[in-house]
Amino acid sequence: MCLNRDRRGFVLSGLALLLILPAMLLSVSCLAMVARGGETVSSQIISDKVHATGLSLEDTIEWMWLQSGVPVDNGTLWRLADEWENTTGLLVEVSNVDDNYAKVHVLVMDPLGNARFEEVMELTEFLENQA
Amino acid sequence: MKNDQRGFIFSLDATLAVLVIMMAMAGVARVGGPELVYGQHGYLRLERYAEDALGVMDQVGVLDSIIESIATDNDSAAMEMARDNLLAILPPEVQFKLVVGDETVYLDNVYPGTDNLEWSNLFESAEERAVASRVTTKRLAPLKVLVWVDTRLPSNQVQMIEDFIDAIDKPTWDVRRTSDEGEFRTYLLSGIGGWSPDAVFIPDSLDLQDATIDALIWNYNINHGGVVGGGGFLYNNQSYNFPFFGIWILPPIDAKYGYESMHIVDHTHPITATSPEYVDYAGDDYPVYEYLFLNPLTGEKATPLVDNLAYWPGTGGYWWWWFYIDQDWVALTARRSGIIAHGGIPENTYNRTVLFNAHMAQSAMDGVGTGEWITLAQRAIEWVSSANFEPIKLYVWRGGEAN
Repeated sequence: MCLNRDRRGFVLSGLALLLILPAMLLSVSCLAMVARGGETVSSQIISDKVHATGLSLEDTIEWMWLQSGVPVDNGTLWRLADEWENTTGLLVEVSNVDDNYAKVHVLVMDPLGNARFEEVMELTEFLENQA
Repeated sequence: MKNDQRGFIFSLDATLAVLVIMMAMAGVARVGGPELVYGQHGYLRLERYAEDALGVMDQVGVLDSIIESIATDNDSAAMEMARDNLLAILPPEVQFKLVVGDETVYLDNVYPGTDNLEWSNLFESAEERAVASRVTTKRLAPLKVLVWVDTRLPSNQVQMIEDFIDAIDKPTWDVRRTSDEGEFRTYLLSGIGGWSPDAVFIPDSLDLQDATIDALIWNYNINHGGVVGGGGFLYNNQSYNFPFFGIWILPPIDAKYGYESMHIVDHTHPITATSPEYVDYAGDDYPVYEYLFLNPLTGEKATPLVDNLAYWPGTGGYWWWWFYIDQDWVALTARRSGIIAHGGIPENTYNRTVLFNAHMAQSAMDGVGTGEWITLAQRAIEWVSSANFEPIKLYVWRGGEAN
């Protein structure tokens, strides 16, 4: 294109282009960093919640079995899992394993499946530890 | 510009490029700025404040004390305890609200200060709130236990039963005892003054009217709550033709003396989990009974001798005596995990009944196996009562204090 005297504009020299390119790269990196940072924090919050729920659930079941006679049958454990789900918004499954009151499977995960807490509790071990 | 004068010629496009770079640098610098750091980490810290505060209260037993205060109708002490502890745990710039309960709210107004309306407004207007939760299985309302005390028994045994009830009573239980069969029946059918039992305990009994057993089984046990029976209750009500406690109580039923200890054979069951292998029993003075049991797997009737114990899946303990090494009888029945009721036993009845084939109150108060029988009775009563779950939620937010 021919640039006449009365038509004004910029001539983007090679040097200027070289200066702009890293600036654009830096901007993109910066946005990616911000997004990743937010994602990390959100993962931390979710995993904290899943972990705390799992541990607290285990404490509750241990108390039910060891300190009181509160039933730890499947019907009761399913109700307990429902209550935890309603309270925390996480997915919670608790049930007896092998038709054994003293063996309880605990699973807690967030709805998107990013964080997961799973354990099979052998309740008789608490008894041995107490002795 | 002369040849000996040196300097820069700063063109317009270079100026624009520098501007773009400066904007980009400002953007990068903002990543480390306090606003974005707070946006990313401030909420995480708030969440952790909530989780840590509730965790500390749980670990040091404050939550248990709060629940016990609520269960014993001492709400003001519970509120004070919760407020004092949260003020001590959380930093001054973090405010809180603690709620215990869901459908029934037991504690709803624990804020840093006592002006609930103002604090409630601050809570509602908080820009961001974090929450930590727990679910408690501890009872927030007292466990209502109805005990049948049969005053037709010898007076010394009645006194032992009364003493045994005193011994098993817990601070979070609301125990009522009655020796009036009409009143006992009314409690079972409709409750009295809005008080209906969560569990019924019959440590021992002579024969009761059929109408009372009807009320116990058909109205109360199947539809409402659990029953723990013991002593001669079944033996003395042989005429009632129904499989109660998984036992068909038509003859032949015999009473036997001399059994010295109950052998706990299932330590995976919550009732017997903490019991020793043998629980001493004053069997020279108090009999045990041979019953005709129903096998819940098949519905067949059987007298469960020692060979049949594996065949009887509801047994938590059996009588052991060297003389009758081949003729041991079931001593404690409670539903084992995974067993489906058959043989005419309603599901709820099978779930929520425990039979002690023992005069445990008398043995315990005679000083034989005292602690073990008390624990077994307490755990059995809690086993037959339905478990309650209540949420505990701690909300926290950043903000100023109320005036």
